Amino acid sequence: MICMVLVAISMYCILCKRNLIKIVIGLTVLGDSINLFLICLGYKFGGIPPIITEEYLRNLPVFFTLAVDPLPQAFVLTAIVINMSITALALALAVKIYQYYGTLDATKIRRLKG
Amino acid sequence: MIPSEWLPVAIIITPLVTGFLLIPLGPYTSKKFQGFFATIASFLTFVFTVLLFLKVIDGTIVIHKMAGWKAPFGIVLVVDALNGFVTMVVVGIVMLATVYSIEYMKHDTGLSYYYSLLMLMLSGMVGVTLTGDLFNLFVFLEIASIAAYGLVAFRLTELDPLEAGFKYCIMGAVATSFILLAIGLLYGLLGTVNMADMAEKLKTGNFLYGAKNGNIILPIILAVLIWGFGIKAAVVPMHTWLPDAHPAAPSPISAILSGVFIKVGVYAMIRVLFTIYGIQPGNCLLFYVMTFGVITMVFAGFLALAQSDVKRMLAFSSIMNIGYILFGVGIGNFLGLVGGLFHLLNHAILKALLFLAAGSIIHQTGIRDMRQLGGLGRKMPITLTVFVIGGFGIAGVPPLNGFVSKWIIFKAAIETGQPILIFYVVMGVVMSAVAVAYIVNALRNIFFGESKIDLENVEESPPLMLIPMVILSAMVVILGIFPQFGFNLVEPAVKATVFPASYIHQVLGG
Repeated sequence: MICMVLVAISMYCILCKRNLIKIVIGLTVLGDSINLFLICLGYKFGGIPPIITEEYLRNLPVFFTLAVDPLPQAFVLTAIVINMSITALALALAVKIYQYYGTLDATKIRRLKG
Repeated sequence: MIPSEWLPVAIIITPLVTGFLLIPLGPYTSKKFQGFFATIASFLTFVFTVLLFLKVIDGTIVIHKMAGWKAPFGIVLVVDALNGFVTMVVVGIVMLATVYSIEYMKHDTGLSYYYSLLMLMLSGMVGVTLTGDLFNLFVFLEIASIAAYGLVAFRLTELDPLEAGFKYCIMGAVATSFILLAIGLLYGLLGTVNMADMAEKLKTGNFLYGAKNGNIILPIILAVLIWGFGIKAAVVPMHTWLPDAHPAAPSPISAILSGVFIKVGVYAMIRVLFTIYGIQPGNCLLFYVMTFGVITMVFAGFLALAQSDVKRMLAFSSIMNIGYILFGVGIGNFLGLVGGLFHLLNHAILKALLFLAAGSIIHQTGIRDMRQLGGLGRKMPITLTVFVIGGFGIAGVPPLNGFVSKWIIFKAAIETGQPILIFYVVMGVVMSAVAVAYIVNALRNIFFGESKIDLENVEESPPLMLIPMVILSAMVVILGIFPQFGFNLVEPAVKATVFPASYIHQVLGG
């Protein structure tokens, strides 16, 4: 639920804010909220790390019900790296735009809207 | 020789390694060497792709299991005729654009970064098409997209590329975020990200945790996926980044972005619709895809008429042709898909040709506004010829390939006999006329009449720029006169699309 609220907030931020930096912040929040959602998919109350130890090798069904799903965490690690590179690129472009126009207001930059 | 199951890996690895080598080599090598290095790498990739396509054309499916993990657990690269076909189109166009870049980009600095990003983008695009794993597809899509954002904003000294790059970056990032959300939802529902496994579980209704509301969520997931890939493919309500981004990029990059990058979005849509969801022709979802296609076609066609910047006009024309492709795919029967995929091939060739020709004009004159140009026909005869061939091909004038594929799409639509489809066909024919109008307008402005400014010293482009254009225009004519040659490429791809059962079976069984 929280993730969906965050998605909504970030979409508002991207669509309605004029400042380029705030748009990038919105993008980051969007990415992170989706990561949070992915993590929630694999979460279990009172879960254990998905590593088969001696103790659980003898009792695999218990292990399956208790262990946290590791796959979404692997997804999120990848997605975090991707988000970071997009944020870095967008910020670099924003810096360049600021150097040329002297402003970060999207409405004042000639064609850029949104 | 490389064994066939290693070919997909070779196709992805070759440009990737080249991209990484170019950066450290950059300060020590000349611009020409970097260009030829990238060209050789893309040529090698193209050879691998052709070998792979010849392998899969008879319906065989090549599967590579990464690190030896079996299908539903590890990442697999799966190649059937459909993605073999798309990969071949992608790599072929990128190869020609790389040759063209050697001459076109020689006045720019930082070329090692340029070729490095170009190779990364190639690697990402072939990754998207070759992978058999939805999350892997997302990762490769991001690789290709980030390289594309960088390339659009490559000329940092001008203002347009910066703005367009930022806009493209934001819209593309939102799109991929939502694709990730949809993949997450699918994973939560099915407990797998392998496409074949997903398709199998969807068919049997085998949801994780005994979820009962799957049938409600699935169309929503599909909508989010189509929306995300639709932004990448510039379908009309989500097209606004394209007319900014494509003209702002250097011309060879425009050719790649317009020619093949948006097709990768279309490919992903086809894969999701036909392989994962296993949709049959006549499904109402396909009707929506088709309607979006027609709206795209009409909207972008009229906007293209109003443009004075030659590359902006071509960008709108790209959006319009995406509309035709979606129309063909959306009909969903065998003939419609043949038309759609054939048009995908044709439009990739034609639009790459037109952007390269426009790049040739811009490179020699430095002007992009069609109203200022004029009388170039006598000074640049070869560019004139290829522009005429490409332009009339896009507009669908009979002996050229654009006519053949459009005709098949219309024929497929009429054969279904539904009145709404016949209305769509009428729209399609009208839009073809509009395409003739803007192409003729461009030709008249650029090549004939009198120039408003001094263009006395303009010469024909150097041979390294002309060769790719001549190759592409030769293909336009050949595919137009002997369409059977094109059908031989497309028909196996369509068979693989319509009957995904053997794909699913072989991935899970092998």
